[in-house]
Amino acid sequence: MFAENNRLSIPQVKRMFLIEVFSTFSLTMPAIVTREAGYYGIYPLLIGSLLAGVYLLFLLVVGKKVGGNYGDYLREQFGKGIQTVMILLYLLRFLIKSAYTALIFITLIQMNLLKGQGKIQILLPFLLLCGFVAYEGMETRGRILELLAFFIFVPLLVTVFLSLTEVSMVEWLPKGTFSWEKIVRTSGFVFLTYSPMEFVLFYGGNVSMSEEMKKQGNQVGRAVGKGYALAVVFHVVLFLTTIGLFGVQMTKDSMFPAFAIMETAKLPADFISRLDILLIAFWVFSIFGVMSGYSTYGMWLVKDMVKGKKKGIILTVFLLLSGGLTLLFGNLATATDWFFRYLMWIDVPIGVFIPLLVFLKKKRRRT
Amino acid sequence: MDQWHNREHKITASFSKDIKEMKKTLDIILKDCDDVVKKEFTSANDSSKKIILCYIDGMVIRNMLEESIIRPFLEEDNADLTRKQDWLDTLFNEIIETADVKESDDLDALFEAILGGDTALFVDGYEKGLIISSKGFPIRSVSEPKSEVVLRGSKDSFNENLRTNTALIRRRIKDTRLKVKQKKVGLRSRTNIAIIYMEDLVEPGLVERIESQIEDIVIDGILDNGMLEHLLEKKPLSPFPQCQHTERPDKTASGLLEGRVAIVVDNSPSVLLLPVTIHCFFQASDDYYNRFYVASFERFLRYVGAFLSIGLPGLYVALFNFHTEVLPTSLVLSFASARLGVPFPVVIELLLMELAFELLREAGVRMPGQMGNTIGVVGGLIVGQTAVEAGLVSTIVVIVVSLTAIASFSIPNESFTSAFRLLKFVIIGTCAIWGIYGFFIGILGVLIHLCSLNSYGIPYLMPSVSSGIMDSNTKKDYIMKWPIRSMVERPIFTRRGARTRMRNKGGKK
Amino acid sequence: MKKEIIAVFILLALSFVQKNVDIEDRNYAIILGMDLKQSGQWQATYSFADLSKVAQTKGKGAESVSLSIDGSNMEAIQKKYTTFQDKVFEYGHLKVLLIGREMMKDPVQYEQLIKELKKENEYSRNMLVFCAEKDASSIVKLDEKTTGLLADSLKRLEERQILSKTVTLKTVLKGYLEGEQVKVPVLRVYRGNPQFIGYQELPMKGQEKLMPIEELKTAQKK
Repeated sequence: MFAENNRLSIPQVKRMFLIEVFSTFSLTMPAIVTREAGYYGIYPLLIGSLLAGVYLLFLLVVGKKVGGNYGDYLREQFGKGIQTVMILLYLLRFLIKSAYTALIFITLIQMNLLKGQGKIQILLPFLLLCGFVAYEGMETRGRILELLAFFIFVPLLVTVFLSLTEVSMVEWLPKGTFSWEKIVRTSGFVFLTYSPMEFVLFYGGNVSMSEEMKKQGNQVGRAVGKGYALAVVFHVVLFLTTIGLFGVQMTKDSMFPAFAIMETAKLPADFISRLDILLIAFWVFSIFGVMSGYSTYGMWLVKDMVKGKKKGIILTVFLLLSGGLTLLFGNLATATDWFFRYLMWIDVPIGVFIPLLVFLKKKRRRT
Repeated sequence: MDQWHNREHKITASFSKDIKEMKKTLDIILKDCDDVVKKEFTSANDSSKKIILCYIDGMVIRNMLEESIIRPFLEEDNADLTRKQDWLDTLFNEIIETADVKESDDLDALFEAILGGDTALFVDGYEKGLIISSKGFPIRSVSEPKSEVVLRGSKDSFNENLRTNTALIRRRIKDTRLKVKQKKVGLRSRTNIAIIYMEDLVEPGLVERIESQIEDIVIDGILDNGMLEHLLEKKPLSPFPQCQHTERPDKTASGLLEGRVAIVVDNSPSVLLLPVTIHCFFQASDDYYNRFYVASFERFLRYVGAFLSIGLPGLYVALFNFHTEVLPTSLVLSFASARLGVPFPVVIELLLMELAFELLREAGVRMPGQMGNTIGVVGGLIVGQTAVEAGLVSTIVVIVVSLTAIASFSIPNESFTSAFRLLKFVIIGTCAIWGIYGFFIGILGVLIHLCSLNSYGIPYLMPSVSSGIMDSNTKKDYIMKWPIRSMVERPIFTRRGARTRMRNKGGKK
Repeated sequence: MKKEIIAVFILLALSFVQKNVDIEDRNYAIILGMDLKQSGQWQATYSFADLSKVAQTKGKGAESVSLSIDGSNMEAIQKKYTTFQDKVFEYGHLKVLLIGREMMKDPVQYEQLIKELKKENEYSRNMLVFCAEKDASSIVKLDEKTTGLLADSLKRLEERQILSKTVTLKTVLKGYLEGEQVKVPVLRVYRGNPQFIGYQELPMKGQEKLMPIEELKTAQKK
């Protein structure tokens, strides 16, 4: 009647996209950019984000061409065989990225909240929730992320605000040797962190708009654009705050430098001594947003191949595989190294190649 | 099923013109019903004119029967009428001195009328009987609401009689577009229900959808609107109610004026309102009668109360078992020293107190009158204070449990509060296992479930989510309540095009 | 099938229940003093809140007890603690770090201390940092005699008397890694109370010699 149509609204698209793009590397971005670029970290952050913007534009153009269900479009244009291969590739990539995201999540929880508790014990309820929301459908996921966006970004901004008095702007000034090679390499890493942007291909056909809104042009594109812009702004704000508080050396050596901001934030009158414990829990919501995306879109891709009752089984298998892969990853530092190599040489190229094929192939009319 | 009833429990016997046959049928079908009165009368002037009055003793107004039907029939001089076919009309239009009379040849309808408190009149030689409205069963008078008490506003509430309830609603909305559609539900109980709505405000298709759902219900009896509510819900396993029920006619009228549908069920002292969103459960009637600052503050308190009722015990476990560093040192040391000597771990202590409190609450509800009031005092003293003095529990857990209970009482709707009472145990469990991480996992699970709920197409969490759909603007009656003058538009329940409820902003010049 | 799955899930969940340590079974360390002994061993002096005293005095008497443990590094000290203390060590309420003069004089040991403090997330970055004129342990042991917590007194002292920006562990770590000069307040024991006497420049990376204490009258206002 009013809803129950499994569709997203424009504000939901904006918030979903923002959470999906921003969350995974929100706490580690300052370390990523300062590790190689040092005091010049702001430049690769901006350059990498700009490259990501270009990639996003390309994805939006492809999305507009698809105009509806991505999986169905692939089948219509390429046939069932190639569609199956493409879908499997997407699924595999989602699996790996979901596993890495889960590893970041577990590491932070183990380090700060639940020392001594096993990975399975931390991961299991989280995976269950991701499966639950994927099972309930796109509309439920859209609503929950719309709701959670407030609880993710407001505490983040409050933390930054509370830390402002301690930020030293002197630390922002570049010093030391400038190296183009390091800037370019780091910009590439930053660009890779925006890989979840490809979720935008899956929005098409699921967005509900009134007739007046449809006349106002590409609403989805605008919403996604706003989400991207906000993600870049948040990354820059977090980076500047981290550097201003801790300097480049401490940021470089820290695994989760942005989390360290939360440690230093203090409420007036010391009402809550350690704010980071509470703020980290809000970060849990943002990681949930990304991981539920992998399971939801993965599920959504195979929905035509699987009848209703088996949806639960497919989700369970996906989540078990993702969890298993997480446990295999081991140490976060080593996993991050391999993960970025994987992103650079396999994941992102496929993520560009398949949409490029879609873009270049002349649209076959439905018979 | 027997020879007189079919699968749908309807009477299969057919109507007979012969009064002797009819009497036999009545005797067989109403066998062993000693409260049924079947009285035969013969006209004084013409012994061929016989009637049988059939009613249930205790459910009819006997005086009315005697004055309006029996005496006029027995005393009436109808010697002039020789043609039989006029006699029923004469009986119908001239002799019987009551307004509400219907003809029927459907024996099932006639029996239903008898069992519903009406009187059936069978006339010898005629193929129809008469149903005379004579309901006089005992009903409770209109009293004050028990659970939705307000400081300012009307003090009447619904009772068990359907007609009284519809009348209380009609008193508040004197509009011809207020429609009352009656239906029967329950194959044996044949409970009367009334679907009430504003024809020009309700969303198209909603009433039809509800009607079709009700028609699809095949059950032997509906004894309360609670049963109907569970049969209408899409997710009956959810702890959260997907229909709102209220004892208050003013709340019902307000809902109707917003385009919602009210379902009145006979024998039920409350009314169902739907569709519903979660924020409806936080609204009290006097929010609209008090000044908006006060109303907004009180409403905000209810939201805080809801959070405390579900989250405070879990947070206590999480912070004191896992993350003491969050709290100020002096507080932690004070609490830790208070716990010295307590034999139980924090979680067990909390669960014991919560269970004790729930037992007290249940006992207080079931105990009659005065004793129920005393139980709270006695329970608080014995369970709380003595347990602390005996060293069984610490003072902090008594404070936590009491605060949780008080917070849960601040929510106006009892069935909604019950969901929180249950879920708090789930949150305690997740916090006991995973600390503050478990708290947020638990809350996230609850939020996901709430996001998956719809009430007749409206997202349950609206306007917290999907606030812009269908041109809705419900934020003026949300956590903060805006002044009446600025609540110019009706909420999303109302059909598009009928959302304006006020012009000239309340008389402001 | 569903019942079996639910039963398995409940059993799994129960198995996850940690052996939680109750709030009263923890040792709350409030102050940490780090000294370097002549033997080259580290000496960590902790001031713990004594819960039984807290219950009795209710803020009107001494509430703490101190404990000194020797070891080659923090890890060794923590291991040694577990061998003779039944209560779990609770780091989350450490408010003050006092560094002894000998520790600062030895650049290798000082660097090792900085590294260990940086590595462990359990040490709150908001912890106040002071230097001791001589031994940190003599100042920490004052907590056994002061009314209330010494950490609160030091915090008040810092707020009222010390005119420079608050020096926390974060400031110290950042200064060391960035090669910035950091001045910390210096304390000594005076009539059973800690007395603020001036500022000490913390050693920077590679610095061999420790600067002298800047006495109060010559200290600069910031």
